[in-house]
Amino acid sequence: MTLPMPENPPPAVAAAPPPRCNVLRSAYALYTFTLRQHRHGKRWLIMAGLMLLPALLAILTRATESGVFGRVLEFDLAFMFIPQGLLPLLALVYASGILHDEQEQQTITYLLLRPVSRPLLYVVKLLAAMTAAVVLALASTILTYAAIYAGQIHQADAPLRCLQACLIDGLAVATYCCIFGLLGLLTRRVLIAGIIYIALVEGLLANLPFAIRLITVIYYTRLIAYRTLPFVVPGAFGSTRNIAAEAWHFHISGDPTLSHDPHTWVCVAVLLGGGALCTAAAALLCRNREFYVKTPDKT
Amino acid sequence: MCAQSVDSDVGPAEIKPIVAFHDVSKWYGNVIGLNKLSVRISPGITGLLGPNGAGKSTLLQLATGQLFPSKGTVEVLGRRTWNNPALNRSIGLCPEQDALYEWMTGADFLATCARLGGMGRTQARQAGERALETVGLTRQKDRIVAGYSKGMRQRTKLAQSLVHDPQVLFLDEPMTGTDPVARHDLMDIIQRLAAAGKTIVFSSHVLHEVEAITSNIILLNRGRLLAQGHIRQIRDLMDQHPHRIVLACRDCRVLGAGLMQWPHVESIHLQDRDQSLVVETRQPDAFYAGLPQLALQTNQEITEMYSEDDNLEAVFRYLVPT
Repeated sequence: MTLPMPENPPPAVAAAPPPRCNVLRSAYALYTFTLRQHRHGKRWLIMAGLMLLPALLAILTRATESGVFGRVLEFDLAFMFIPQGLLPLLALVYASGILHDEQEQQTITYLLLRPVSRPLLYVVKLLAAMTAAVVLALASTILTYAAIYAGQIHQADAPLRCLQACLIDGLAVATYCCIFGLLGLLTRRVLIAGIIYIALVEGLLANLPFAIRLITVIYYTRLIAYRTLPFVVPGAFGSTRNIAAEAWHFHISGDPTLSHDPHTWVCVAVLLGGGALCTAAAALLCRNREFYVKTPDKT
Repeated sequence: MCAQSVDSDVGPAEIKPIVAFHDVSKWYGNVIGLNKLSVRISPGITGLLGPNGAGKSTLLQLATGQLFPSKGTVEVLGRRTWNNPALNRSIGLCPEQDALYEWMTGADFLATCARLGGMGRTQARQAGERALETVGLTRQKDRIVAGYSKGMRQRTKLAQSLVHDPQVLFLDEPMTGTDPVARHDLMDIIQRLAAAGKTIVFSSHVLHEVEAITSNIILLNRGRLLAQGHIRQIRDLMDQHPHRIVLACRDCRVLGAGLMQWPHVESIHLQDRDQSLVVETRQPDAFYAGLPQLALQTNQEITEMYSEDDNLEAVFRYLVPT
């Protein structure tokens, strides 16, 4: 049954064509807004404190150990501790809650009501999270190098090595962000899942001397580092040893050039491609996802 | 479902609907949000009324493209709402949840919303200031949102829904938690927006709020459309229920004795220490027609008379089974 409408209803409003869409402008506004979000709150302070650890450790080591060899310290901190311990954690904290945090705080409505598609919303927010994480990673790497090599004038190649380390760390953290961004859409318990991933995949599998490590991010970053930076240090009785090959289980005794392992450009392509694949999958997931902000009452 | 349920799939043919739900159902797992809802909303102010869990927020979220209908289609301004971000330029939503970016100032929040809508920096700032002026928040625009009162937060949410000058506004419980002054101001703002040509759909579970703003209502209960149209016509639906009429006079017992003789009077209750009586009748027209004569016969001056059924509370009491 239909009830009559109120007397003298206002005239019908014709469906006006939408104003000219300026999606790029919206996307840029979203990017800068998300960066501002990252600047607020305690998260970045905690992560900045955490990322200062390698530099502090370097200072502490140099202060307590007079004969420490700079390149060993560099390897331990810049190529072991940072990429394996800190970067995945940094990416997990920044990328896992790309949309989940907005949903939890019930502010996602304000974003969904704008003329930005869900996939674009995800990608832009991922880029902003990636930017924040990369900036922190680079700052940490630069400070660590400064702490290791400050005052050592004979280490003329340190700035160049630092730059290379920054590029490798940036690439790694960006890839991790893509992975954890996707993980954040697949599970609500993303922090637990992320820590399990870090421990199991990037921790355990990456350190096994088998082909299974080809599925880890850390393997490719190590390979890039190994191929682009010298890690040879003096050994006993005037010999030299490659500390990276030993620690990373690269079989250089039979294959000094690692000809059976992927080349540098393949490693870069795998990391970039893997990241892009994760991002595309996450964007697709977002396309048809409803972001509930209110649980309906039971009816 | 009660017998008064109506299925208003068709509205007046000459009015193009702004919002159209065609046989829409929405399930949240095993919970039904909306159940085979067909409704057409025309320009003007429409009140969306229903108790908690009736499906009001679900309807608004479907209309703003935040939810995907499990079944049926939802159209606003003739366009599908799901995965249609371009439509967001023509619609605005004031969400129910009391969530804002607490670290921002009101002006900053509004300008950011405008920029997210695709405006340039200067244009966005001006649009934000206009929206804040509309909701009367200009003086507080540079304060941090975290320090806003409930009424100011509601106004801020309303302002963000207006900042891009949309054609259609959806307001989800805009008066929730506000004090009477803020409530009155918000009602005034809504009416001014409607006068400016906006189509407004607003939800509430507080009946007098809706009644104060519009007489054009949609009643929802348990995800179903209960009734749609003018409050008076909805009241006509209730003819099978006895209408409650309150009378105040000098000696209500005398008047009550006379009323007891009328066959259509079902019951009479004295209240307020015999200062008034509540009559239940199935024929209100006959009641009103015969009352002056009875008052003369019994020599009773009726000082007050009103029907409780004129209030939306009564509509709900009748239409929504408890």
